[in-house]
Amino acid sequence: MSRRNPYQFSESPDGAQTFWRNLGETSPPADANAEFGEGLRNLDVLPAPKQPNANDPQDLSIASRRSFLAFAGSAAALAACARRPVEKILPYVKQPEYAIPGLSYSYATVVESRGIPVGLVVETHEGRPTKIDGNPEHPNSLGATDARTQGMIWDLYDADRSRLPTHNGKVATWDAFNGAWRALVANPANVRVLVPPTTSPTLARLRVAAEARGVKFVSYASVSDEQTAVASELAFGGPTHVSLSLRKAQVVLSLDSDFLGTEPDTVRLSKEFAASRDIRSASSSMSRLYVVEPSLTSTGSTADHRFRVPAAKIADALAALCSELATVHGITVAGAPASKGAVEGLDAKAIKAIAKDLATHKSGAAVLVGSRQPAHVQAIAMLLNKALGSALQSARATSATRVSTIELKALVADMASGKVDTIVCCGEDPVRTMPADLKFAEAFKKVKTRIVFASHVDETSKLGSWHAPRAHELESWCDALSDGNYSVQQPLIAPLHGAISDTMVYANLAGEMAKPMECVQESFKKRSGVQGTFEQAWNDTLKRGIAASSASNQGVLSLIREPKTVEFSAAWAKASPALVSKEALEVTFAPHPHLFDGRHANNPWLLELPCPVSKLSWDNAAFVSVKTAAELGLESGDMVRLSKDGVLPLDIAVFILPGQGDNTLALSLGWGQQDAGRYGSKHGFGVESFRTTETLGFATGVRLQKLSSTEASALASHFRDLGKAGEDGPAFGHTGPTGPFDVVTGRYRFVQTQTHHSMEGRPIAIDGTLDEFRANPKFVQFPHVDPADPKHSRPGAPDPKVLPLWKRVDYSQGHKWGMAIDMNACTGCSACVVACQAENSIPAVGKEQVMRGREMAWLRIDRYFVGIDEHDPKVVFQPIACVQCEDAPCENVCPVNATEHSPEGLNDMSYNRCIGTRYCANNCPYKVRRFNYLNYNGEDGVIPDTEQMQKNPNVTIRMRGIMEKCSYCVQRIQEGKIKARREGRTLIDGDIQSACQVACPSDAIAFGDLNDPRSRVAELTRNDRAYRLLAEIGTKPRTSHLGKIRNPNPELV
Amino acid sequence: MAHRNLPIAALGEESLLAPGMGFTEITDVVCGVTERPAPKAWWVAFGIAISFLGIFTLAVGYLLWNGVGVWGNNAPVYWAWDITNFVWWIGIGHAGTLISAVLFLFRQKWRTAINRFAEAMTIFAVICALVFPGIHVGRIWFAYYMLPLPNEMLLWPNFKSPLIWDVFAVSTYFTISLLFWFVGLIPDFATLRDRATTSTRRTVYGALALGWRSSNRHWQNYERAYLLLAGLSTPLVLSVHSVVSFDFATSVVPGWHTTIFPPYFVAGAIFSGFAMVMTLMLVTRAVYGMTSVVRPMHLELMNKIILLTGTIVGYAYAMEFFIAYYSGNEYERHVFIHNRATGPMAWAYWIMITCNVLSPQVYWFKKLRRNIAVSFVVSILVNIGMWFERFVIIVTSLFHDFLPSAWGDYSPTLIDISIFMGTLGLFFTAFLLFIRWVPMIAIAEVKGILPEADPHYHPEATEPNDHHGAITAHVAAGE
Repeated sequence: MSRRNPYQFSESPDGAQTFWRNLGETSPPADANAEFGEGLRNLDVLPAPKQPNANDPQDLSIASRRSFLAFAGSAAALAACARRPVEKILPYVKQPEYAIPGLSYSYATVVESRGIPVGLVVETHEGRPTKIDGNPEHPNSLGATDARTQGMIWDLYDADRSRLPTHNGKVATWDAFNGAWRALVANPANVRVLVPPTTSPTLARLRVAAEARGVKFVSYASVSDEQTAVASELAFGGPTHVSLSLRKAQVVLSLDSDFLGTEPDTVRLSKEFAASRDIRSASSSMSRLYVVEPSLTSTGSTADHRFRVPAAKIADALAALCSELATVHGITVAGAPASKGAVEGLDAKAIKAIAKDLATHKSGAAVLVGSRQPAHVQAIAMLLNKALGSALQSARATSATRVSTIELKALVADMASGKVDTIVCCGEDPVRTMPADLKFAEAFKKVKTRIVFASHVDETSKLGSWHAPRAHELESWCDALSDGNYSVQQPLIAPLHGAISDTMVYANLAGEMAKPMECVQESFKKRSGVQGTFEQAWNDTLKRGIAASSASNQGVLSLIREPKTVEFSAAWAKASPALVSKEALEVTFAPHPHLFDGRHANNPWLLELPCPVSKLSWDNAAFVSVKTAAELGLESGDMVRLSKDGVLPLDIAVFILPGQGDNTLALSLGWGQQDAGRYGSKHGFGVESFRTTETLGFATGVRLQKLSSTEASALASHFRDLGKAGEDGPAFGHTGPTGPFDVVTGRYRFVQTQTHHSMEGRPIAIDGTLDEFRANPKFVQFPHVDPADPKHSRPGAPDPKVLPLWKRVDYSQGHKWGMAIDMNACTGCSACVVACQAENSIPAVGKEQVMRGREMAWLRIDRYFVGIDEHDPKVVFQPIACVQCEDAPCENVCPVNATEHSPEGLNDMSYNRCIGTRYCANNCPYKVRRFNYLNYNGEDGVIPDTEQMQKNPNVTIRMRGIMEKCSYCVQRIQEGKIKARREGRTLIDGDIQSACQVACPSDAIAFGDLNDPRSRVAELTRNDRAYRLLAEIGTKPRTSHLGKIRNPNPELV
Repeated sequence: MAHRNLPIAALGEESLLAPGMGFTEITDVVCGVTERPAPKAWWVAFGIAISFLGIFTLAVGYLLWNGVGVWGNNAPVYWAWDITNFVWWIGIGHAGTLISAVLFLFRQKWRTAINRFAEAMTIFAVICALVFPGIHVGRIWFAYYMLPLPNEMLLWPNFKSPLIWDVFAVSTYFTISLLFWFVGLIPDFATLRDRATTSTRRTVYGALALGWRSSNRHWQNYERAYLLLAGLSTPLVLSVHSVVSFDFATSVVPGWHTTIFPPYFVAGAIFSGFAMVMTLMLVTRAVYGMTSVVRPMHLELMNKIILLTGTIVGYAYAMEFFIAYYSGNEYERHVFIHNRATGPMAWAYWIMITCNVLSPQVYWFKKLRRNIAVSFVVSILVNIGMWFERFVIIVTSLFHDFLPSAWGDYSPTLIDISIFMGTLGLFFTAFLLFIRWVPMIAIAEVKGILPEADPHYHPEATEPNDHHGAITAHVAAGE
């Protein structure tokens, strides 16, 4: 077979890798205020900013090359041919040096997620960042990301981001805002600044400088880890960051800690936890996870033993455990309270078994307590780990700022009493998210000058006197430091719409007018241990994404002082026993796994991404257990009114979730924003107003009253009509508008991406226990059936063969792409799903279309409930995308050869050929094909201009009427092959990685060449646990699934 | 001498025509319909039909503008009403071909009373059927990719795909049916031309008659051509619906993947087609007073075929169920037990069983076979039942297949319903125009079964005295 030679491109003259080239290298010196209103001008792809039109809030001050060409491509052509607009492609007039059109470049940066810096590598095409991945060299990322980080790239291009400043609700010019801002920063007296907590040394330095000028900073985050910070101070006597490394874990006990889902540092913990359960053969060992939690989470779904205990009873559970450890195993924790006896949901037998397990695996044991638990409970766990002699826990001194409720209360009191002249808010939407008892909005209105930097015109911005666009993390210079790891946040693109970064705000308040990059460089210079010249060290840090001097053992603490046992003994004594019953329910608050605190509320990928356990899409809900729902006479979708003293009642729809704790309702934050943007407004239920400073994590004594359908329909204006053209979502559903409530039952319409939750006894997501696996390592495979004695079969037979209709293709030469998905590692986090959407330009379709089952995600995570107990089922997650059958049923039936096999065994889609008979999808046993029923990429094929910038140029945008599906990231395969060929070498394992594989925080997905026996995918495919889903049909899938192994404690079975 | 067109009273045979019907009367009765002003009932029916055609046009326009997402089709139910309607209409067409071709070859003389509009029904039903494969594709403007047109885009159809077989099967079927119908019409058009009182009629019918002069040579060529076309059409009765069934039978979908489909589909097609012919015939007969040509005996003979094919279909349902159980294949079992007989779509399955298997059982009784009201009700029930048969096959197989995580549900939208009702409008508009302007009964052929048409006919002879003639008459009566 002849192949075309790829074009030869010369390497850059200094011979350096073009990989991770930073923007600063090619950046010409710009004026001091470049980021302020003008933007970086380091790439010629960005035309010079034009004067914004003050009357047009949609004015796009910085257009991309593509959008410019789209305008240039003549409106007439668009109008004349809506289906296929004429597109002209023009070359650069002035070619930027080293920028080769068509080649992507990756840059390292960092974002902070709940006080944890996560190193990223961002792919850019012609100056546009298009895809986020983890930085393998960063210890908190290890190359992976979570779903939210994957989705962040969309937020950057959100067409509803605010584009111009506003003054008292009216659009203002940048000049007007700049005038007001400069006047303020020139003399910042009596200014309070509400900022998110940060680890950044630069911001810390600027903060000190600003405070010297009379500016007072207060940290605020709606999802705060204040209790964890206080706990570490209680346990270790000073500001400490306590972290667990689970790589060598043997026994893990999670007490209300969703450490694989919504807690801080989930990416690293997922990676390490998966490593501790990596079962290669019958002789390998795996860790055991006990989870005690009120609501079913990703972590609980992964547990070997799960106990449903209300959040308010977690303290009692820990006390019982401590006393068991003390009395039976002689492991005492100073300050641990006396047990109040067994806890409902966690009987004495379980406590005994867990305590014994922890005491047996002292150094390999770890106890995690959720960050919403009170500080004294978390502190006991930290001390318990220490008492156990756990080698997994480490504590390091930290200089990160943290939220303090006392400071917040003081600030609000000052604001309310008129002592504050000016308040500056950076993000976090405090008006919407502040605890109800602070009455922040009222106090906020009493401040004379209220400057709000926010990505959108949010609730706070609406009440502010000034609002200005706040820069995205991918547009900002900053840095981060955690556990001695220093990394620099470098911008990937000039701030769209001239947005202002937090660094800029800090610097200006500190009286510095330097470029944010220079601020960061100055902090970098002050760091100790910088080797070589500044230039070398700086460039190296930017390239690697983490400073060379970073060392993971830096700043390790033993104990600064003794634990403050007196303080938490007092806290234990003070804690009143909580009663949880169906008359006095408990509600728990957790950040939503995808929207988090609501910052991604207009992100259609994350809105549509189903909740890992409930599979709810486009909504949150009050999760209620099967038993409690029956007792209270509730059905999924019933509207209820929750009331509690001291807060306004909350109207919310309940959703029955198997595995939810009895008498406790799980609420998630971030939803129900009335004005989040074109996609996110009026989806779900805002629960923030139900929180007080005392009940940020959970509240007890909540009364529930079922609303009648009349009362419920009176609330209809708070929710979005479904299927209203152009409003429901990007899909533009063309069916008639439907109210948010079902017309017959009056119940709220929830949509799920998966509506059937049992495997019906079919061998689909196969799981077993460790003992079963050891006794019978091939239990997942097909059985050898002896015809003489069909009752006794032994597993391990090859996949059943079916007679071929056509000549078999020989795939033994060349590449043979395959995938292996380890269900033992999968936690259902869905990072892979969003990564796939970002990489392959897959649109979200909107709630009404999801209701019709038309979601487009190429990769889905099937969640099956296993077991007969509907109150407390076991869970198995099965990620599934196109399995690239060698004998693909879809190919035979396509009348136009639009889906065909490549010589490397890929089942390729030719979008150009597809006429959309949908026959292939009918004939796909895995139902992994997705059909564009409507123009999901926007009405008449027009995507908002900024959204277009996110699209991967190596992937075709599919119009309506076309079938699509997972391609194993064929564009990456081709890119990798071309690169290897250009470098004159053969491909090695890891050269080509699929987007889902890279994103996966638990290394559950392996992709590569099955003909390479040393590749990870080949190794996993040979594993005893590997099986081919539905191979009995004769499809010969290239993707193997690896059976899930549970490790239950024999004493509890 | 013999006159073989007379019924044998001793065998219980009846005349195929009412007493007193001769050449003139037949010509007058049939041609009169096209010459007299249309009755009020025709105008009412036409008004309704063309309204539905209007709805059809609007709904299809809306569909093409927005995409097939305006239908209720979803994932996993990628085909639903679209293909249900396609198979239903194609099936209806089959009766026309069976009546005109197969019964012609078997010299079933009773066919002459109904063959013309049965054939017309075929043409219009196939047109309605062809609408659906056309509009159900996602990108109709590229539907020509299915044709083997030489091009420079290296595009060539995939001949492994049953959809390509469909394209050829259905287009062949349509072409042959149209030719067959038109060839049969030529002598009758000539009759209308000859009776024309206006120049427009003379010109139009004259053109359509293709210069027919009723010469001996014309008749010889005509008979030969008609026989050839009948011979060509006969295998199509079996092949077209077999090919349509391959769309399902060659797939891996549980409930589709079954070898019984070709005969089962053919029987079902004839079943539904006869029901539709019955519906149309009864209405037309009543409106136009064709009682002298379409006799109770015709009803009886057709109802016998309905009973036979309905029972074959019932057997197929039972056999499918049994094989699903007997195979031990859990996916197949699930489809039949949990998707069809029970489960959320069971109502559709039981409508199908009631209408298709139970309702024709009334025809075990001769009295009911000849009852016009019963025939009409049963024919409507069978039409409904056969639509549900296709719905059950398509939707209840797809909505719950292999992986429970991908299971879905199905409900139609207003556009689904409008387009289906719209094809009924298209069908009836075409059909009403046909009965208004074209001889709805094959004049020449009906005349051919008159006793007078026998060259050996003797008006004086009242009893057949020829043994061979008796046999012929026996066969002709369809006993």
